[in-house]
Amino acid sequence: MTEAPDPKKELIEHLPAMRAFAMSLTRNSAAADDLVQDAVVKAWSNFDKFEPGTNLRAWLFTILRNTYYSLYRKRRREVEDPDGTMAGKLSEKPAHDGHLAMNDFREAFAQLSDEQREVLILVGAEGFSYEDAAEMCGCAVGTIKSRTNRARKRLAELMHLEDELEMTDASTMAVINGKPAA
Amino acid sequence: MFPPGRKKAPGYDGRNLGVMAKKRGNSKLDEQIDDNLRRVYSSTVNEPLPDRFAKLLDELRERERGETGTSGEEDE
Repeated sequence: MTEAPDPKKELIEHLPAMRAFAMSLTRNSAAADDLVQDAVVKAWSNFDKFEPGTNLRAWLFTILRNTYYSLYRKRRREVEDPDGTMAGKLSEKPAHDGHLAMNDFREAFAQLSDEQREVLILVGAEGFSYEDAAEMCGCAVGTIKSRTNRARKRLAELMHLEDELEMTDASTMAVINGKPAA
Repeated sequence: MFPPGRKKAPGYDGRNLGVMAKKRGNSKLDEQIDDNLRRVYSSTVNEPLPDRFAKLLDELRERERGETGTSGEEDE
């Protein structure tokens, strides 16, 4: 049996994802990098508690989110996205290939609650299972599921998507009706 | 993947196109949302890692060597 990989050596591979998760929590690039740094220092001194062979990214994300909720959330009122990180960092033209305009999406996403942004990143973007996400967030699986549904619904509302899709999604209707799209 | 937490209405017979359209529309919407989440997320994931993190890891390793130099944990 090979030895479990050293989490200290693997840590660096997870830093880009930790930054992205931190960015979605803080919505501010400077605060996000500070948050990652704090989480890394905390993780480093707790690696003896990491169970080799378990999901290192989930473990690191848990530390990161706990750090955010204990230290950063309080500070947020003071720095409310001064550089418009989530809202306007990348200016993209609306795409017509089924993608939403990124700017609108970032703006809508930034309006969600901390818990909603968190669960969408964990489940929707990272692809963690509901069970893993529940463990990471310290809540019940059912809570994660309903939170995910509400977050998606809220995003759709913020982007006025529900009406639009029902009206214009001809290819979906074609599938449902069993006819080729016009 | 199934859209989470969505249950079929009682008496659903798979032929109610109105209900079906709504369901399909919503799951398509979920897909679209997840797709965009991944795009926003991966745009940050793919950013080059700021130098401060390589420095930080170096510092942490240095500090550890200083503190636990005799523990034998580091086998260099």
